[in-house]
Amino acid sequence: MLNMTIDILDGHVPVTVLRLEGELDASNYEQLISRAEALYAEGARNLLLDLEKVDFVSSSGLIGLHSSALIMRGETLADPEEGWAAFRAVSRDMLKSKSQEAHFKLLKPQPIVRKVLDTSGFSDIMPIYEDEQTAVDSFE
Amino acid sequence: MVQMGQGRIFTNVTTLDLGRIRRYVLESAVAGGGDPPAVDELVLAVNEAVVNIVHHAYRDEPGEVELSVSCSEGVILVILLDHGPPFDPTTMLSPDTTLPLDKRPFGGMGIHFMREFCDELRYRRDSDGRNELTLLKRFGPQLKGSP
Repeated sequence: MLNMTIDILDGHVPVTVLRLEGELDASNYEQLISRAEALYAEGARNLLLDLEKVDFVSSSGLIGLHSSALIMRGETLADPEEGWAAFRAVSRDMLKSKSQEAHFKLLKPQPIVRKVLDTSGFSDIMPIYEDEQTAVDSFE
Repeated sequence: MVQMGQGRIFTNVTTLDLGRIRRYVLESAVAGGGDPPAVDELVLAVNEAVVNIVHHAYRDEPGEVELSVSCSEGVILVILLDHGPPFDPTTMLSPDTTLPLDKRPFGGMGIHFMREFCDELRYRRDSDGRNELTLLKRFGPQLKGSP
């Protein structure tokens, strides 16, 4: 189960805070992607994903995070039916270095979620914050 | 010696069943004395294993998964059985997590998590022609890799 709510906060720039609650897995990661696409279409350009109430993120959940990060860069995603190969093709020209994402950041992951982010290497490329205001102020 | 618990059969398994399968493993492992951090990691590994069964063994057609959880002497043992064609996830390569995301091969993160979050993974084809995957997780004062 995955619930999503939104807040718009003002830092140096407007920041959309997408608050997730529940578990992010193979059954629902596409809901996150759809929401990110909708937010971008509505004008959101800086997304902070609040993971404080997320108890579980699987490898499929990471696809949701990765896709959301690409969306915030302004990339058009390939058909999810094509799987990882499609996402890789979209991001090929983007992720030439391991610099951290500037428009997609994570907030307060729970310990097991943090382990998933660390084990996958996602914590190297997605900024993670423990304080919401600090996270909001980090967007430029 | 680890005593095997009674298994539970999940029928017509799809990704929509992952949540209840995770809860079953969590409750069984905690009831057996597993400590929460170890149990959380094992639940993640089992989740990835079940997704592999759904996608690779059953090719996304609903199928049956039998799952048993046992805890004893600082060890949690989970055994997964499915009726799909032979599929050994332990032979799948883990991705190089130092690579940028766009340079990683398709998939592989699930097996990576299974290896990282379990102390042992064993596969065999049982006498009934089923895939049998065993996930072992130690908890308590034991260190990973200790005998």
